[in-house]
Amino acid sequence: MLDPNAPIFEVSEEIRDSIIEVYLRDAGQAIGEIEFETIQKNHETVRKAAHKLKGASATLGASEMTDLCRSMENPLMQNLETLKKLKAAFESLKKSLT
Amino acid sequence: MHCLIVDDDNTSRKVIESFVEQTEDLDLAGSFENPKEALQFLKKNPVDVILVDIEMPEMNGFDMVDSLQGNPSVIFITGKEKYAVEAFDKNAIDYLVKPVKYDRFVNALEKVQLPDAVGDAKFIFVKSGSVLVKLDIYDIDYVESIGDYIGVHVGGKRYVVHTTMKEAEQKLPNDQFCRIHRSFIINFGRINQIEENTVSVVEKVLPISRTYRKNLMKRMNTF
Repeated sequence: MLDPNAPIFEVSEEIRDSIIEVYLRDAGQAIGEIEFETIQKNHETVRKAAHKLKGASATLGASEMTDLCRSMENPLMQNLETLKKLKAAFESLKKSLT
Repeated sequence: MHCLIVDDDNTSRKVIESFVEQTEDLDLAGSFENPKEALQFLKKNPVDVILVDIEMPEMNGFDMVDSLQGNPSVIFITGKEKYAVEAFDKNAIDYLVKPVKYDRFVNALEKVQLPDAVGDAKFIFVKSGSVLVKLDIYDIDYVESIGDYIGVHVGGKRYVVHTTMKEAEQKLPNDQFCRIHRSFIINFGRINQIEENTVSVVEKVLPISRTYRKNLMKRMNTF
């Protein structure tokens, strides 16, 4: 599920586990924010939250999450359909990591 | 070498912290989510290099770098390539796009040039023709950029030296000298007057650029 070439695999296993824990917590919050702001049509706030989550996801090597966050940075893609895919990708990632 | 990390994303920050830990001769002086807190920390804890994100909510990385006192090297670590030109305008020594791999991180750090031991130095030698002239650092009025050279102005005389402004900035003590423009570094003690966009140094009127004005004003002792 995670890209083995991602930066997270260049740190020790112990630290990796703690970073994954931090990621899952922050990503859950970020997706909540993205969902709320998407419904409110606050495009810039969605873009910023998606941008931040994209960076974290790329660092972790969560490619699907990274791609979907990139889509959510684009105001034209900030819709419930992309949001649904993002939430599904996160649930699947969470399952594979815990 | 002491470094500081500033990134509002916890995952990226923690990975960079871990990279710092596994790098020889590199110490983590601090790691901050908030640039304003980082600036406060830096006032009392100068570092050699700052690893800073650009898009952050309370203050972006460029504004933070504009507010820096002293002259640490800056490496931007960001998710977008589009800020690269502006980053290098801010004298960044490197620009890393996330996700950052460890070898790229080390490669960026290798570009950090630590200043020579100028802390207590009172003199600097400049080459004038075929001789080296010893100058009291505090006698320097200002330094100007002249293409691939710099002009060191001392009491009406100008010494032309083959070096960069960045290197000159590193060699001059930052409690006494301040960059005011891409092309000028001035001695605080030689300032006569500051106007909106200019400063009078000895008898010369020099321009202050928008980028450096904030830092200059912050460092002036004003009523």
